[in-house]
Amino acid sequence: MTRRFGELQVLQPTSLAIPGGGYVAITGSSGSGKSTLLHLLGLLDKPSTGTYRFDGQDIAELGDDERATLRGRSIGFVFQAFHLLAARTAAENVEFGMLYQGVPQRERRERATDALERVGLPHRDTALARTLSGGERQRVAIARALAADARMILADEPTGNLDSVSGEVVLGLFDDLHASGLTLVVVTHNPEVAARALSPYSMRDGVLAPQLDGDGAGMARGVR
Amino acid sequence: MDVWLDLVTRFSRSCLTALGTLIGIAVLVSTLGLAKSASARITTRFDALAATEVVVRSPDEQVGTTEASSRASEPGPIPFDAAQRLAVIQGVASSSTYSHLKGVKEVRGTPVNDPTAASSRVEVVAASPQLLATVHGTVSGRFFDRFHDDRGEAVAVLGAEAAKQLNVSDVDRQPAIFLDGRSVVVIGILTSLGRKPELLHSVVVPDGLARGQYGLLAPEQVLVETRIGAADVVGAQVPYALRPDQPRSLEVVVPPTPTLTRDQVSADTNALFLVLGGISLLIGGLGIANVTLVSVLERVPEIGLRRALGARRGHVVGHFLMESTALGLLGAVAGTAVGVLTTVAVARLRGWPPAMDPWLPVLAPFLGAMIGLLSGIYPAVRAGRIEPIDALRAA
Repeated sequence: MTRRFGELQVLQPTSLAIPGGGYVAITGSSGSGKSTLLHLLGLLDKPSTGTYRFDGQDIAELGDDERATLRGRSIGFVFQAFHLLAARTAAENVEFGMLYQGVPQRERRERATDALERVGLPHRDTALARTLSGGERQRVAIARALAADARMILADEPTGNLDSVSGEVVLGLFDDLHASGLTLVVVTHNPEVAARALSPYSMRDGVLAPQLDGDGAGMARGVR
Repeated sequence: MDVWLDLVTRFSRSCLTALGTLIGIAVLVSTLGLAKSASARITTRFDALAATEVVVRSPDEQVGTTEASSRASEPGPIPFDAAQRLAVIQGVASSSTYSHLKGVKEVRGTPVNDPTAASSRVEVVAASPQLLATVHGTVSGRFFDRFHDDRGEAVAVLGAEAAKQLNVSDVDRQPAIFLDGRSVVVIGILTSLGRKPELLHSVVVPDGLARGQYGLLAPEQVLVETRIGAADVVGAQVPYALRPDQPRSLEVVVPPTPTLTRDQVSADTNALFLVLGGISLLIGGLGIANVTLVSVLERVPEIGLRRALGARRGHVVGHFLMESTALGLLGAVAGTAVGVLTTVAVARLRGWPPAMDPWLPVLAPFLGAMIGLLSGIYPAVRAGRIEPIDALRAA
């Protein structure tokens, strides 16, 4: 598929298959088109040409609202800037991910509690998001995706705003999630983060290529 | 719920935003309320007494006199127990019979004819014991009561001026005056009167005495004091209570309704205030639109997040519409309360009866909600047009 904005061909013809349960990392410098690819994968955008099938469903056939619903149900986003509602508690932020799925309030609360436990923050549920540390915020964001029952998590520079210790905690969580069968796509320009993934790709000027020059960690686990 | 949380987390801003609607609705509600109160108002004490006075007259001029011997067997239209009959009507504060005893030719302070004494022009009035309450009189000594009335006791109460003319200065020594030569004991002097000030120049005797000694056949009229605003209703019922057999034979005088000129004046001021209220509502609406728009622009990343979490455009539009509607509604509810309180407070200060159309406090919050909804349309549509990728990148 390709994506152009006006005259600018941001994404050169690209073909990528992400298997269920895969762990894909995409590295590249700013402006390489990796965020555009992520938005396409996350149903936030439509390809200019080509097709994107999510679970066998051609996205081009879906309307704006249907994409929104599918996005809310299946895809969890983890952003560099966390995107939590600062004035609400951690639990409320996690529940917020289920708001548009029509999950009843009571079930939302239960699922939020479970998800916070999975990310190791069961005791922080009533803390306001603005009082949390960066690492905690990112874990709340991950819990939000987990509670919403996302099958694929798209992370855009998940450790970009974190110190190395917090970043390590988040990456450890990703490993756990991968082990439990979730599909992960991580966009980063940090090679260390990319190295944790099963399938590292690099991107340059809108061209995606499997990363062959890595330190071997990814290769050692086996690229599919 | 979600909308509610948003408004609460921006509490002070929400309050300020709602203030415009609050003021507008408060002005509207209090203007309409005060207009209503003012049209029901009674500006002076005199008005209050006039507006609560109903007079029932027997149309037959002769009834109060003693010269009706030709119809002596035929009782007049007003019964003597009028006061008791009217007491059961809702809205009657008190009532009393009232008759001029024109048949009494001579009222004197001394038993002998004193040619030096100025000829007195003292009127003699027969009434029931309730008269004192009905005319809001004060008395030194005492007024006659039911006992005097029933027994036809020869007692009288003098108006202050009449007492001067008759040389009666205090009632302790039970002075007597002479009505057509028959002595009557003065038991009280009327010192002030709320209505019927002419009683200050009169001698008041009980109906019982007038019937027994001075040939009163039937009361000439009945004075009725009603509660404020009840005059018309009471006036319609009085004839049936007095003469169920011939209600039309009685002439009932009810106070006139407030004049048109006064309504005209307040209508002009009302129009002015309504325009002011409308303008502040407009400003309130613009304020909501403005703040909602700022809030949309400020929350672009949040909108992106909502879209990323599965919110449709409709959800986002609906969210901001609900926010602005809730702001309008909250402002209007508070404004309605302020308006009602203002109406009551001003009405109380001015001594008007507070009045308000019942639909006003019910409809006003809806008006506010409508204004909020309309103000929210443009910002909400703007919010709905925001593309999630742009929104998330903005952070």
